[in-house]
Amino acid sequence: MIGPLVNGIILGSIITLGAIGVTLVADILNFFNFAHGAIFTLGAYFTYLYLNILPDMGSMFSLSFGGSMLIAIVLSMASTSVVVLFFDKIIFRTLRQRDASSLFLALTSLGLVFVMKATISMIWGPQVHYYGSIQSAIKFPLGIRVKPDEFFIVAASLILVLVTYLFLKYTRLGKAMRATSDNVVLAQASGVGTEKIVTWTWIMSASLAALGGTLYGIEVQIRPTMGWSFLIPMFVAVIVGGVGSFGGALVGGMIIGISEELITSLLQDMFLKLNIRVVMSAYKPAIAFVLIIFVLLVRPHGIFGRKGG
Amino acid sequence: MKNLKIGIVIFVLIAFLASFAAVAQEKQEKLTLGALLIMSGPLASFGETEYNAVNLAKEHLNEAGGPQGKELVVDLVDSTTNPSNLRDATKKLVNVKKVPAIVGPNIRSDVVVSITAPNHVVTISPTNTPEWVTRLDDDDYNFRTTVSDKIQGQILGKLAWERGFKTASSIYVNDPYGGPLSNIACDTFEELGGECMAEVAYNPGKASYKMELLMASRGNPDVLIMPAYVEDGITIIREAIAGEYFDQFLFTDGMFAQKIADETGDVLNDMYGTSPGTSESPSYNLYHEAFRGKYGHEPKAGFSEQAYDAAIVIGLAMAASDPDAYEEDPGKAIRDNLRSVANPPGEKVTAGAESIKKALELIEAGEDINYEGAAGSVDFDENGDVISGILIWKIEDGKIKTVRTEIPERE
Repeated sequence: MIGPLVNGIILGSIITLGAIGVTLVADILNFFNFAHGAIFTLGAYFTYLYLNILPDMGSMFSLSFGGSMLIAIVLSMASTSVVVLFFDKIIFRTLRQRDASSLFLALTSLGLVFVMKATISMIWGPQVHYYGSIQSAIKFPLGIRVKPDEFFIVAASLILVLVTYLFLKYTRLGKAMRATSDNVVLAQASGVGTEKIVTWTWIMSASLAALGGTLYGIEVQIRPTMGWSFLIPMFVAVIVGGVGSFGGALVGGMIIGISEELITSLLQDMFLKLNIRVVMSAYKPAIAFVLIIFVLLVRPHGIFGRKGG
Repeated sequence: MKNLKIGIVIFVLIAFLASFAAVAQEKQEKLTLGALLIMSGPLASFGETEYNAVNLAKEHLNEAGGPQGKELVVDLVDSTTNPSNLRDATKKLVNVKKVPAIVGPNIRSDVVVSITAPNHVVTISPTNTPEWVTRLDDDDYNFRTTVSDKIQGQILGKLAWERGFKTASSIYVNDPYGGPLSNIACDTFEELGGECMAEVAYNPGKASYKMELLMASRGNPDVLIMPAYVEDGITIIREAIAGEYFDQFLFTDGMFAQKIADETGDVLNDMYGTSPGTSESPSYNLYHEAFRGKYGHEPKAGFSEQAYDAAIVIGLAMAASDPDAYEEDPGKAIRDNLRSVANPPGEKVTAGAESIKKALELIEAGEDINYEGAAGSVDFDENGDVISGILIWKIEDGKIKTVRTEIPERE
């Protein structure tokens, strides 16, 4: 019972990192970015690339990695942002200038998924990669097993979420971003440069995705399809939490992560007791969808959503 | 004027197509062999090694002058592990490339045979081990150079008992390969006195298998039996070690690749596995010598011997075919000659360039031959199955090594 809860928090914090990026783009650029999963994957692969280039600096504390991982993460966040800005420049900006509807922007991002996925497969191959060696879990009471890496995953996610929150709340740029999301015309009239806001939205969204991808790679492994399978929980988190809501992405991400783990394991226990042989983990995405239907029936705009938002 | 232009365009087009036809005509002088192997996905390490083996066989046949005095070429198509891709790849080889014989598929012969057999295309799978392959309705066009899982499962169960384990669980890939293999191994293990506590199916390609491990580890069994595929298997092993679910494993042929040791560190030292094959025949040694000579290293995954044998017997059967019969229906001609080159009676020939040269000379002279392959004696029964040994392998100092061969008795 507690074990799956812990797993859920770990998964939820990674989902949250992705969901914040989706919600930022949805709110400020006004479309659902399907390529976010591929950006997530790209970030994980960039980290893998830098990790192989950088000298091995040993490991810190009892983590399975050390200083080189931290540098690799920062480089990966920067590289992923550059790639995403490049795509914005050649694709999304052109579409914006031609007043393409948000549907077309979303469909374009869906096309971009295949381009990115195929490119990643071509460069790094279709096989699974790992960042490091196997790490044994620390045993806690109540049958909880947590790997030291997993503390890092949750801590890194929470710190980045907090930093992003403070950035949006207190910096000039953050305020301008929130203003743009509230009312573009009014923001422009007050002297907010739209292109600058767009650039920073992409940078934040891509950096958080790159970190999320890397953390997921640390937790399990990296493969070209990893982000694609993460797209559903990320979108569900955004919709459940309310599109455009920062707190919504955090709460939504945690709800999805925890409920997926908790419900699958509860159902699994039940089936085991009834002697029915089903592997419930195959149905995790289904649980996310049941949840989304339930939440939208009760609150059509999501938990923290604004009407008409 | 307009008509003239159209006329010129049509003329150019016809000339263009005719030149293609001429090229195609020239191609007839070569014999084509299809290779339908997994080159991407969780079993790619096998496909790659097998493709190397097929190319080695091609080289040996061509150095000896080629079947029917013609050059043999190999046409490779990636089958992937996805059945619908496999179907498309098969159709490509059968309908577009029009090959008479195929080395492959690696898995799911049922999907392939429904396309190849009606089109008179011979398939020889180097790897598809399930017991049900024997019973496929294939008009005798489907063969395999690997031994049925019925035998591997029994030897795996026996191995678990011999290694001193009293209780076991299995996590098997949820497809027609993993399930039967797990069942047979567990049945044998229980007949000998052991207890199989759980058999858990897993779906390939997932990021995490904690749930499956949780189910399999109930009651703390001594060992985890893994009829699994390499990439998923590595994930399972890593999570099993990290979560302390298991520290003892037994593997099957789907995990018989150096990669499993490379990706998991030294935790797998002294773990055992099974795989169809043999390690103690002159033919095996000759093959490995040739492989090392060409590629500079040992085969990196299992079943390359079987792939080599499959390509060789197809080449020999091409050579033994009556030219007119081959012209008329090449697939049927190959099918009808496979047993005459692979089975007794006849002079025994082995793997290796020199021996293949001798084999082609004997065929030319009208003599009977009996090919003794690198993976076993390659004697096809009426179902296109072979009886050969099961290899026991282990991991020692991070390297996969073969331990011994168990030769099953004919039933």
